[in-house]
Amino acid sequence: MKSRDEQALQQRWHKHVDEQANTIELAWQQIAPKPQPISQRLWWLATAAALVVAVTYLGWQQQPPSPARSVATNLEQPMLLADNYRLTQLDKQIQLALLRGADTATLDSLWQQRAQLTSPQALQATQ
Amino acid sequence: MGATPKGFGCELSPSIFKAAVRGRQQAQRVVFETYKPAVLRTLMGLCHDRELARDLAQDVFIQTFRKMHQVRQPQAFGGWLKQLTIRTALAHFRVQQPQSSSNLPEVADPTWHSMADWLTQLADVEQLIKQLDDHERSIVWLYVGEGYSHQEIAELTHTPPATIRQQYRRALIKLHRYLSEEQHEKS
Repeated sequence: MKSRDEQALQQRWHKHVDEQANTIELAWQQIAPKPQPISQRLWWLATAAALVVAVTYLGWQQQPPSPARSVATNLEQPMLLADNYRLTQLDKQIQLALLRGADTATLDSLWQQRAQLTSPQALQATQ
Repeated sequence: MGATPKGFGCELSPSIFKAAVRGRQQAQRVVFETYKPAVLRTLMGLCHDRELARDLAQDVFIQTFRKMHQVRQPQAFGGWLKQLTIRTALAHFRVQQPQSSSNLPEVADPTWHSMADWLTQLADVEQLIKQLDDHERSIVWLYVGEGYSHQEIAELTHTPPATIRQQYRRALIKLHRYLSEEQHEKS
């Protein structure tokens, strides 16, 4: 069990670390793997397309078409991130959009809204 | 509505977790945004340097997306990430400042009396933390800030538990001395 002094130190240190950590700017773009060059991506796309055509053709030649399967949707309760209600709602929206296969533009728009909510300036304004 | 899990205790949807393991960038981004505050907070406590905390957080997340397939259950991910974060910071300190003194002379218990009130009123806590070197700060933060036991810190730092206890006591004595001097100057 921690002494009263250790508890006081813990309280002060936590507060200090929270304040400092909230001002550190670290964007997803600094972590995300860099996109491949266009020529390389085109090569992969062409290879994938050729494979799909070949497999489809062979399947069509050898077997009768199978009934279309319904796409499984796994919409578990998404996580809640913070006490901030708007942020929590936005996180739910992002995860649902992701699980429903939303397009990049929709996801980018949601990420932009989230970035605005979690910017150091916005965090300071809520403190 | 129940309390929302925070920090490394945040829950990750199994579908998002699996998609992130498979390398889907949007899912990895959810992982990053969910755990970024906890990673930065722990690193800030360990490093006491915003730039270094940011650089190490980058390392942590790059390693995360490379190694997260090792985590079997999504529920275990937070704990795994916390360990990775702490180990990354400790590895950095080991490279910067290798530990040499494993046989420290015994020190008396700190006579840290009635400092709690003074500590609560202390304006510049940053200056107080600066009294500790990287290793001392790591031990005190892991014990006081993250709730690790001396035994667990010993395992993380590959140091005998008795040495960790001594180093912790020494660090507290340092803080006590600084606080006493501050108190003396102000009064």
